[in-house]
Amino acid sequence: MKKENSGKFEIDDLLKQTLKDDLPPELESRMKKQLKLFREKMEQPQQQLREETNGALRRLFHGEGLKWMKWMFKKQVLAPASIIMVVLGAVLQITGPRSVLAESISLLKTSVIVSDRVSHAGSMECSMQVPAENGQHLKYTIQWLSPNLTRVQVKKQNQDIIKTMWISEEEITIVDHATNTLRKAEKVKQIDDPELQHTLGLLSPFDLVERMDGKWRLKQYEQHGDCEWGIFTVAIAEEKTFLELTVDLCTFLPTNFKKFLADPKKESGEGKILMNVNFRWNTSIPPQLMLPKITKGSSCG
Amino acid sequence: MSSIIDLKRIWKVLSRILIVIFFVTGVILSGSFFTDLMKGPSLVFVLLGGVGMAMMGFSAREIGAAFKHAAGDPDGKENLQDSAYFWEAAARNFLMLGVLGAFISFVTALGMSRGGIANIALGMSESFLPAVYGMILGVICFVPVLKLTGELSKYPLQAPREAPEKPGEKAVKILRFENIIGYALFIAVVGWTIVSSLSLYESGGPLNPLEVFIYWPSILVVLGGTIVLVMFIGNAAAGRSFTLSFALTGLIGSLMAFVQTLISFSFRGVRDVASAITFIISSCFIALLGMMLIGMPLEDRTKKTGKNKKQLALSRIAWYVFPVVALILLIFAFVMVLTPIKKVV
Repeated sequence: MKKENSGKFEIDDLLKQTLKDDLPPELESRMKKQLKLFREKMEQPQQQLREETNGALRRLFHGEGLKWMKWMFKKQVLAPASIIMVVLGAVLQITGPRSVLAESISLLKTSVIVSDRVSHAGSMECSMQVPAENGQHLKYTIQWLSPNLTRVQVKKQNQDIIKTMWISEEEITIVDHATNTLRKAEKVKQIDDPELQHTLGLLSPFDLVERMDGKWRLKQYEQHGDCEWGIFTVAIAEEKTFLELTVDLCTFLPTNFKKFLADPKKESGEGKILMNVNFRWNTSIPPQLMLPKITKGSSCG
Repeated sequence: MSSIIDLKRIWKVLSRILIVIFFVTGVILSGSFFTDLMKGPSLVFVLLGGVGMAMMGFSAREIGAAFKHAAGDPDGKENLQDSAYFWEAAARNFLMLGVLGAFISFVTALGMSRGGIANIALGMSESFLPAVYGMILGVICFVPVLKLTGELSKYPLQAPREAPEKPGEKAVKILRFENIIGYALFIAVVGWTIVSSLSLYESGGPLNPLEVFIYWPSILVVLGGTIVLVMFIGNAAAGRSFTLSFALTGLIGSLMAFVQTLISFSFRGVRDVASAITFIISSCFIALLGMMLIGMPLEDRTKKTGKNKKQLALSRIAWYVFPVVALILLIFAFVMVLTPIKKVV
């Protein structure tokens, strides 16, 4: 322990003797001068760069070209300008053009209301026209008599009713008036009659809502009198068809539904009409329509 | 004696690790409940945005010191105050970023048409997840604030100092390199989120983000109102007036639009309701962005130690009340979009 301490003291003495502060004043002043010159030389490029940057910034913000900027930030200009901005914003909000976001909200909200209205519709009658063979048309009348009772009648052009279908909660009854036969099914999916296939998606409020949901994009709003009419369109690429639904924006109920063949030559993309449906909502239904009319001798299948 | 202290420390660390393990196991075992709440991009947005905002307002040295203090490094009272302020600012940043993320996700969800109303509603519901992340991260950041405030209370009370312009304070206002990096990171995170989310729009290709997020009526009202208020309050360079003005104009604008929505709901049509909801969303979004880009970084760079308590109280109202009100208004917007109007002309 003592040996270590004595060694330390020796080193201390040696250092004190070597680095003695006993330089002659003349030599000390010369050394200080040299050190100062060295420091200045080292700092010069940094200082120069700093001065150049400051000068450039000063020129940028005090130049002739940016005088307008100074003028713009004067209180006398800013105060009326900001008030004008507020007023202009308010005026644009009331009268201005609509934004993409507002259109998106309109579309979604309209879809929500239409779905709600259709789901709660008491009764509906729609007439549908579908092109058939030999340039003729098949005409359909679909009636939602009550939430759980639907009647479909199929007519050929200039002919009497050829088929009638009743859909109730319990069963589905199809009467073929041409052959005087009657068939029954339990589910809509079991309907294999090609002439009745066109009616799928229109057989109940739930079917129509499901058909509309998730597919429609708002095409345009049209003003007709006091009410607006909205047209929703959708393109289904797989089937090469366009679907178009027109909604009365007063009642938020569909008024027309069309299915087109996609035509790439046309700007709108709409070609030959494959289906045209016209809706009439919540009309009173004659009570005799509530019961099926079956002639004697009908067979069950 | 020291071995007993070491053992205590080891037990403390082990118990914390055990708590984390229990929490993670609970999350994994809970099944779909927590997985429904996990949305990676939103979490990344809040985290990266928070890092950017911290760098916008603080120097690397200050951030490092704050982390050291939070880890238990003893230091002087003044530095502890700085660190407590940093952690409070971090909590505030996460909260506000969460709300901003909710607004961006909400607008994105509105633009999706595939999958029907149910899917859009799901997208809109999920848009509130960034706000949840922001709140969780904010609460985590508040833990060091409470800890450091507790440490500060051990020091003797001093008379509150007014904050006169110190000679060195001007230097604080000058942007440092890390501040510029922070701004770049924040703008990149927000910009990338907006552009990438809008590429999901399906109306014949991606929409121009400017068309969706820039709604001129609300921009004019919020910016015009902010400039007027800043001129009245004064001391714009301190940032506080910007924060307060953006918050106030955003609040006034969105509340006016909220009233317009209610009136349109009762007496007008869908288009007026949609226009008013757009104004609510847009004015809250612009005000939040203005606060985060202009007001708060300036405030962070100037307000460190020796803050005027009254001024800080006003700023705190703007920091915490406005995002919460904006979030409530967004929830109202969600309900109003998905509620059918009963009125038939």
